[in-house]
Amino acid sequence: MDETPTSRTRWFGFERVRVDYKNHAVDITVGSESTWDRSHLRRLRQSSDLPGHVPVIDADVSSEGRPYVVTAAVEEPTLADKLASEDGVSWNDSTGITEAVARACHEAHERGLFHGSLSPEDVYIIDDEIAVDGLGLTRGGDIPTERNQWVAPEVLAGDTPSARSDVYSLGKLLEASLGDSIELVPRSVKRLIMWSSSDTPEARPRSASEFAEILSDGLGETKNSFRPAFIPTIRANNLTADAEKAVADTQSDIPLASVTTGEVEIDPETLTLDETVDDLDDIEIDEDTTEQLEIIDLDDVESDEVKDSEDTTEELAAEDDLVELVSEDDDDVDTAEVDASDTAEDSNSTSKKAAAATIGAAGAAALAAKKFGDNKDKTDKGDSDKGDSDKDKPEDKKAKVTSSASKISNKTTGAAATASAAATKKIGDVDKAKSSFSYKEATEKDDRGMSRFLVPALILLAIPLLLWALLRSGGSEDQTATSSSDTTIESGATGADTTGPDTTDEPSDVESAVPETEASEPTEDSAPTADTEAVAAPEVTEPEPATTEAPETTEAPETTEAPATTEAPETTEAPKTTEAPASPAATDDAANPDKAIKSSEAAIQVIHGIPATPVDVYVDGSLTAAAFQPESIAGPVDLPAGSHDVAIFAAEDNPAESSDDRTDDAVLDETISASGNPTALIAHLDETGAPALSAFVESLDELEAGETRVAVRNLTAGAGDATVTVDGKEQTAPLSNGDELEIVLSAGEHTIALLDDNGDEVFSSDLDLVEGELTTVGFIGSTEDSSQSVVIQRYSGLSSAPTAVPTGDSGLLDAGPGSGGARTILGLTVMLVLSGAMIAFKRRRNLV
Amino acid sequence: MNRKLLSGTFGLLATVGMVAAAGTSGAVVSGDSDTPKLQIDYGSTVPIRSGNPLDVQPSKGPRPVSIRVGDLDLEASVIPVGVDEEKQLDVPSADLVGWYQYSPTPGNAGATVLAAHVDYGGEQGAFFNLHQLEIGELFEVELEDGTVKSYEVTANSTYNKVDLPDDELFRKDGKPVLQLVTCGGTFDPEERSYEANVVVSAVPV
Repeated sequence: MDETPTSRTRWFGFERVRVDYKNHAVDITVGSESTWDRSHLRRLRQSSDLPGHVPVIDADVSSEGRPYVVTAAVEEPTLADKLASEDGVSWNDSTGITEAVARACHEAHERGLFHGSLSPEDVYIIDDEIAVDGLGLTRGGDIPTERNQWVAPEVLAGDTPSARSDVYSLGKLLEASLGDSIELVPRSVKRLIMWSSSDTPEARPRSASEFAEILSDGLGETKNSFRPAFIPTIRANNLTADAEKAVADTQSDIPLASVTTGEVEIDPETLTLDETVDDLDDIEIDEDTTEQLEIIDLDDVESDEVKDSEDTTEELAAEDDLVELVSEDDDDVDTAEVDASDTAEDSNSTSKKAAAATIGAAGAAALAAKKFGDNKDKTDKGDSDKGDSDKDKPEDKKAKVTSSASKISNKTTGAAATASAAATKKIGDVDKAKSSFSYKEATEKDDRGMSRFLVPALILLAIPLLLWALLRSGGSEDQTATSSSDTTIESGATGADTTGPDTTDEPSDVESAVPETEASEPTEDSAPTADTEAVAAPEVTEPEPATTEAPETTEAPETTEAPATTEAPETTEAPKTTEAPASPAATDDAANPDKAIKSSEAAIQVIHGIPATPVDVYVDGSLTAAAFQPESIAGPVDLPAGSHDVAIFAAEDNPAESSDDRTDDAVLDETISASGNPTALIAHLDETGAPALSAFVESLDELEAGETRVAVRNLTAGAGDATVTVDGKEQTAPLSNGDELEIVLSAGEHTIALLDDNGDEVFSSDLDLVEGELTTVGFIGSTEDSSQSVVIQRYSGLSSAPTAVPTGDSGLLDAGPGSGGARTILGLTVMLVLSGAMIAFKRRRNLV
Repeated sequence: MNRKLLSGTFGLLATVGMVAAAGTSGAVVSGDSDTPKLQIDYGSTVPIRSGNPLDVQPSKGPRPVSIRVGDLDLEASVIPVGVDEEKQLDVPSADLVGWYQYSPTPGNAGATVLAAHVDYGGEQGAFFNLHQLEIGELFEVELEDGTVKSYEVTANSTYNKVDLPDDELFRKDGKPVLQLVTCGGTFDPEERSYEANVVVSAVPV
């Protein structure tokens, strides 16, 4: 690993590390437990194809539990640079740029990603294209004060950024970029600036899209057109390791606050819960704007190292079973125990932090926090962690929050963010409620342990499983993007992530009815579901149909379970397969994976890693894979970039060609967004045995001569924090369900095994790993019913030639001029002719 | 490969299936000059294949064990070799020929690479006379299963080492070809190295 972080900066109050790889660079932005929760990370991961944004390459949680976001490093001038340059920016350009930025922002808003402090520094200008940086990263109230001029007042006051707060920033951005030229623009544009700059969110254009329209209308042809840039992404081999390192290196810089246990109850009287919630990370409590929340103080936070007993979680009265259900269903919540931060000591009112930590640590749940304060200053996180405690009045702990229409922002997705906000922001003259659920992490664990195989058992029987599907955010788009993701769909959705069918499943008890953004926004009030989550949980009622399908399985030409049986027929066809790695079709772009890849299509392979559940898959309404069997792989499918509907039904005889003609209910009906990277979508069981979907973008960087790459994926229920061994040797990072470990080995035969928490072998596979190939090794199944197995894929075309062929050292060959001579030229010609037709093979990487 | 298309929509599928075959497995194997990009009609069923290691694992043919080049009065043992620490092809000692073990076995798609020294440690190497091999001449390679494959020389080229056509020489797909590689050209006494590589290409006959 010759990659070394070349620079380390502070950005939005976060640490940002730039890592230079051979052909590209990435920025790793490191948060703390309380900044981005897993669902938000997921949302970020799924945003990589957003046009007009600096793409997210990865967003994950380090082994130490700290979230980080990896974005492409863009080395292009920003709008700020242009404005500061001698030439400046013409008003035609300013308006064109701002319009494009607004449209790009709108795309992001549709996916629940907001900026918060959009400024000219965040807008890259790449010829006539723009790309916005920092999308969705301002979550923890970490906006540095120097950005204040771009930040909407309600965000300064502590609200979560929203479409309208970004509209405010857009107005400011336009104003700033016009500078003196503002005199030149039509009056409608000036009005737009005023309108957008209103202190009252409702008084602004309601969306960035509307902002763009108004701007466009006002300008007619006079503006110059700018387009959203599509910045290709590359995922380096070592990215995960490098990110891990970057995170570890910043560890000491940012104090961590955390708590092991938190408890929150929710008063059913004061909250209406409409949404099905199945992912703790994503619970969002929407409050009716007229309702009042009473926040009850609870001193239940166990935080050993927080000496001040003031620390507390704030608790909403709640239905216990509701919370339990949620936590049972959640499998993202593994971050429970985190060391409490020392920094809490000097705070006499660490409630916010404690609460934040609770949530952050719990990874979910909600807390109703309220902050008082007149100070609108923002400090960056580091400062505020130490310094703001004096601004938190003890009374916080018992806060009555009146949800007045304009002031409540209840986007508590992931609590952590909120919590961080609470911990770090000085909140202005606003009553603010942050509602989150917390849950009893410690005790819950046991419960989950018990339920962990029950649920799976049910579901196993039942659900013909999800195959394709990427979560989709905010009722619109979504995609797969980066790898190593735990995009488990797992009984559904995540905060504003999916728009799947309703579940009748357990989680559906949990509801909320709070507009995710501003409660004050009437338009959003009316349709909270659009922004919040819908759920794609497999229905409990599905089991029966699925069960009835079971017999069919055995009749199906492709049998289900025993690999031997299943594959026997295939083996006869296999010679080619065995020699020919399963490589997605090549595209032009594939020819040069080291370079930026820009593609309009994505080669997607769908891997069925759930035992005993054949399904029919419909893409855009048409039958695409019928009776899709476990342990098999469908694809590659080159999906044009963009959105696609994917519906999964229980496999049946002679399935209808169109999903419209299916009379049964879809197990899963999702919209996925295809990005330009080859991606494996794997349906598998999560740690608890519930169905899940993980997406992995394949690492197709070129290998050196003699090398092979293997991507080992833990997709097994019950393996816990597994360990990968290669030829009996343990590899470093523990691998939890949904994660992958990439290893470069010398080509040849190797034994790859997965060990569970206890060091017992989950499954082992002897593989011949071919030089110049990527072999993906997905350990699937469940330890509970001994259904462990392995699914592998091979991607070829990554090889390099030996650096040289040294075949002489003595000079015995009297190489006179005649020895090669004319013959060489002739030979060359012949060789070229011969190989002409083969040149096309040259660098086919077989992948997009 | 498993292309069990169960939906019964074989009309549409025929095309897709073929293309898919090329795109997934045939791509690397076939001698086609270009593999059509997989085009999916959504109304069609995508190819489905097994992910079981038994099906997916590579199958290697018998490796070469010796080479006989009558015209050069050459008969040498062939051993599998890889790369050294500098990722240079790890050519064996003077009297042996190395089969680059990451290249295909003889007869399989791609370029099988056999490399040997022209000289080594003051001795003539197995391929000392390789540069004399002429187009049209025949030679034989014996495989570990006892079969003997005959080859006909189609080219004998000398490349400056920096200009070695790696992509063709180490091609992993396309028509089967055998590449015999050694050193040639001017010897640099200071570097103790030749400046060129002699590459003899041959095809099975």
